[in-house]
Amino acid sequence: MNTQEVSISKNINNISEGNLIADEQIVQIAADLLKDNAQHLNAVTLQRLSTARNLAVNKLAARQTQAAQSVNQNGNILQWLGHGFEQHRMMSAAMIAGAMALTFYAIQQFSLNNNLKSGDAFLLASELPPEAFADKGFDTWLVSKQD
Amino acid sequence: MATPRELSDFLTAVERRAFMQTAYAVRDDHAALDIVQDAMMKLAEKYGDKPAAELPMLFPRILQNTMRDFWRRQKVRNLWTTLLSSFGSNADGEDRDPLETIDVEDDSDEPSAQLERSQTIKLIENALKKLPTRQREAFVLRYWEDMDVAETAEIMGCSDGSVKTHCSRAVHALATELKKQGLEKLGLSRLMLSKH
Repeated sequence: MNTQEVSISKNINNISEGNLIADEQIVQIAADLLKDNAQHLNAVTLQRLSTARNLAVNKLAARQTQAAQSVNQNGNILQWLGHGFEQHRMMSAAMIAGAMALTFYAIQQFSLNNNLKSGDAFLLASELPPEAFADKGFDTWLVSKQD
Repeated sequence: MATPRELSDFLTAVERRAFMQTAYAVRDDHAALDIVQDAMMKLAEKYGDKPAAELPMLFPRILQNTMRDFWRRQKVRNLWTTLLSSFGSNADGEDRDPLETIDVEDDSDEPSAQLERSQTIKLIENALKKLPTRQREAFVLRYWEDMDVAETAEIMGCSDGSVKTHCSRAVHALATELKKQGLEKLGLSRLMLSKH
């Protein structure tokens, strides 16, 4: 490309760039006018916008108040547990008593079963016939022998 | 977390231009007020736990999404309206000419400078309404809200390159339309602005 062509090309670029800058300036002026115009709304529109804003702010305030109350109620887990026990004291006591009774019964049953089993084993292992243990006179002789 | 006071101050600062921008987009002042109110409520309900510094980025996004919801509802409503109206006719059996019902504003009472100013504003508004949605969004965020490319991209949900493309096209389209309307004398409008 010779010097003249380079110069023409530069001029075209400058004009294009110049046009772009001019377009930007026009658009920026238009935006400034629109910004200014937005400050001059009618009273009815301003009132509605104000109402909408207040509704939103009240909504936020109510949400934050509710959240704060919820934290105060549930924040301390020990307090929460105590609160629970206070309310359900009778039911909790009944449940504990029931569990204890069940445990006692289960232990008793287990011990009785063990005694029965050991009793059967003793009879089978001893040298005397089982009838001897059913004889009351044998018991009297056994006691006199120990004396 | 933004306090109610901070939210109130922020909304006071943005509500007017939010309304104007929405009105240009939906071309209906009543609908624009409803949309702005919905956007404010959504900001308070769903983003009330965000810090105040994030509100300027959140609100434009919420506003745009609310506008899109409005357009979707309009589309469905218009579909039904079109279907139903095609079965009806007016009482005289004649087709109504819509041009007969257009209201023409009588602005002959306004002082001349104010008249010229309001006419200039109207021409700019009409040009803005003609822009495609994405170009209008890019113009509003970059030139009206003075946001940078990155912030605009985040709000529009696109890349920086897309923002630049939309802006470039918007600038060209707006400037062409305004020049066609004879508003190259916008420099005079700037003088009107400074005197106002």
